[in-house]
Amino acid sequence: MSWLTIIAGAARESASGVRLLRQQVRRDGRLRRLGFYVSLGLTLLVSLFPFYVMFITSISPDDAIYANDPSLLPEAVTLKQYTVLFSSETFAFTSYFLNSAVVAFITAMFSLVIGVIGAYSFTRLEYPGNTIIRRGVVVVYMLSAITVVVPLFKLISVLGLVDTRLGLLITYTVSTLPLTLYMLWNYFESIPVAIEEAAMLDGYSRVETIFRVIVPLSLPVLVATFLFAFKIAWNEYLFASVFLKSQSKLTLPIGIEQMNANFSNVWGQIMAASFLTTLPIIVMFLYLEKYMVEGLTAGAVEG
Amino acid sequence: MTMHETDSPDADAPEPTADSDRTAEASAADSEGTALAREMTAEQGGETVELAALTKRYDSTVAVDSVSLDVAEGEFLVLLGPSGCGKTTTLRMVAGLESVTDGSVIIGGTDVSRTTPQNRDVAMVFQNYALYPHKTVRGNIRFPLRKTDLSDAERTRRIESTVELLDIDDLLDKEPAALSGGQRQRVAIARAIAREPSVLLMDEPLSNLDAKLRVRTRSELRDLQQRLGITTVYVTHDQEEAMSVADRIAIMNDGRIEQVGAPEEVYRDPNSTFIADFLGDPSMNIVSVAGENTAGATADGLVAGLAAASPDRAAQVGIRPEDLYLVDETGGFVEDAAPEAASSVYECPLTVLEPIGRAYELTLEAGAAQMVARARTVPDELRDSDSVRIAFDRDAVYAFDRNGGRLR
Repeated sequence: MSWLTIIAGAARESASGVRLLRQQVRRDGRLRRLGFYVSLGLTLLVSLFPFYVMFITSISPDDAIYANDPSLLPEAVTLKQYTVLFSSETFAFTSYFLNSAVVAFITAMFSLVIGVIGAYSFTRLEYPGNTIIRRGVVVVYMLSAITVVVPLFKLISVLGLVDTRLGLLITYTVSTLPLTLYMLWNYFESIPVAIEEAAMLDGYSRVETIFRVIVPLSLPVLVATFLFAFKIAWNEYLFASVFLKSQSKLTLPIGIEQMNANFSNVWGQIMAASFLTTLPIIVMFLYLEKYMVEGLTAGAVEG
Repeated sequence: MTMHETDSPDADAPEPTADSDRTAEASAADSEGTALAREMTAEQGGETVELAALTKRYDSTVAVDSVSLDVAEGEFLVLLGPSGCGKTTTLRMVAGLESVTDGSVIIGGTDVSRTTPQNRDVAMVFQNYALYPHKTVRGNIRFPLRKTDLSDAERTRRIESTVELLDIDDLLDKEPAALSGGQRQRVAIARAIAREPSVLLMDEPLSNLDAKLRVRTRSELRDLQQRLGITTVYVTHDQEEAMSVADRIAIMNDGRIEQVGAPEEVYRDPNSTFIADFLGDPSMNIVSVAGENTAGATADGLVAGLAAASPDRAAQVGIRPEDLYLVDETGGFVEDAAPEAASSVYECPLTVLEPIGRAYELTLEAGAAQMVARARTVPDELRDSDSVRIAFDRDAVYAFDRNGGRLR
C-alpha cells in the first residue's frame, strides 16, 4: 500500500501548492478575474465549437460545405440536409431514431426500477453478501466496455439474443446499473432511517414505504439517474455495433456511422443527423434540470 | 387547555372591548375547536403493555437483559438511564423496529413480538421528529390516518381536532423545513396521536429543544397525556424530565431494570447506590465506611457519625445534599426547617461555596471524601470561613452493602 501513501502525499502537496498559487493570485483581483474568464472561454470553446461546426454544416448547402475556403459563418442557409434525411429511401433516419428512443427509454426505466430496489437493499437491509455485491458493483463500473464485449457477445449468442432489441436492452440495463445503483445508494444513505421507521409505525409496509416516502424524497436523484442512464444508452456505439445486424434494428450512432461508410459526400446529412441526435439529450436536460435542482434543495432538509 | 406557546388559556377569555364582534367570532371558533378537542379526549384510550423477560443480543453484547415490566392502561411510564443502558433499544423493541432476541412484548394482552411495526397500533415520536420533508404539516398528520378505516370527512375532522389540541392550526399548510424546532415537535406529536394509537412511544422527544422550551413542553406533554389517557412509554436520560412527567419511572442500567416506582418513591427509597447516585442533582453523597477492621482509623467525625447512624453491616453510607444542615455557633440551625432526628454537630473544612441561583452548594471535606451540602441561605461570616459546622438528618441516612445494594 506504500504507493497509495505516496500518491496521497503527492496529492496533498499539489493541493497545498494550488492553494498557495490561489492566494498569490487573489492579491490581484483583476488578474484573478482575467484568469477565470480565459479558462472559462477555453472550456466553452473546446466543448461548444464542434457543436457549432456541426450545426453550421447541417444548415449549409453542399457547395458551401465543399468550398475551397470554408467559412465559419454560413453564407446561405438551407434545410435541404434535413429534408433529405427524412425523405431518403436508402437511409432510414426515422427508424434509427425510434429504435434509439425505445432502447434508451426502456433501458433507463429498467435501470431506475432495479436501481431503486437494489440501492435500497444495499443501504437498508442486512443480508449475507450485501457488502460483496456492493463492492462488486463498483468494480464492474471500473471495467471498460471493450474488455467485456467479446465475452458478452458469446453470452448473448448462447442466449440466442444476437440481433435482437432484447439483447441490447439487457446489456444496456446491466451496463448502466452500476452507475444507477451508485448514485441512488449514495442518496438513500443521506435519508434518515427514522423517516422510514415513522412511516412503518404509521401503518405502512416496507414496500409501501419505499414508494410513498423514499421515492418522492429522492425525486431529484431519480431524475438525474434516469437522464444519465438514458444518455448512456442513447449514445452507446460499441455493443450496438457488435450485437446488431439488421438495418431495421440499428440505433442512431450505428446508423450515422453506416451513412458515413456507405455513402460519400454526405457530410451535410451526417451533421444534420448528428445534430438531431444531440437535440433530445439537450432538451431533456434543460427540461428536467429544474427538478434536479429544486428537489435537491428540498430533499436536503432533514425532517 | 390546549398546548399554548406563550399565552395562558385565561388570556384568551373574551373581554368586552371595542371590537367585540371580532372577539365574539374568535371565541365561537375557539369553543368549537375546544369541543372537537374534548370529543377527541373522550375517544382516546390505551392498552396495557407487558414486557416479559425481553432480551436483545447483538453478537456478543447484551443490550437489553431480560427486562420485565408491566405498564398499566393510560399510564405514563418513563424509561430512565444513562446513555447505552438499553432504554432506547427496549422502546424500539416495543415499536417493532428492533427484533426481539428473547422474551416477548405483549400489547393489550396480545403477544406482538413477531408482529411488524405497522400492525402493532403503536405510534412513536422520534428524537429528531422524523417528519416527512416532502409533505405539509397537514400531509404529515394525514399520512397515518390514510391507513385507518375512517372516512375522508372523519380524517379531516381528526386532523382539525388534533391541531387544535396542540395549537398548531396555523401551521397546517407549511412544510417541515419552514418550522422551528418546537413547532416540528408539536407536529410530530400531532402525527403520532391523530390515529389514536393504543400505545404512544417517545424517544427523547425533548432533547433537541432549548432548555426553557424543554421545561415548558414537558409539562404540556404531561397535561396532554393525562387528558388523552393514552398509555405512554417515554425514554429519557434526563432525570429531572423523568421526575416531572412520569407516573412511574423504570431506571435502567447495563440493559437491566434496576428499580421501578413512582418518581418520589425511587428518589426517596433507592434500591442501590446506582439509583441513589443517578437521581438527584447534585447527587447523593456516598462514602464508604471502611469495614470493621479499619473502623475509626480513617473515618473522620462526619463519616463516623453517618456510619453510626446506619446498620453495622453497611459498607457504604449515603446522604443527600439537602439532608445536611448548616449549624451556627450557638448550635441552632441556620434555616428554620430542622430535622426531627438531628445528629450531633461536626466541623468540616469547606473547599467551595457556590451559589446556584436559588440555593448554595457547599463542597466539604469529610476525611478523605468530599461531600456536597445544599443550603438555601448561608450566613455572611461563612463566606470567608474555611470550615463549616454541619449536622445531618439521622432518618435520611442510606446504608448500602459492598455491592451497592440497599440495606434496609
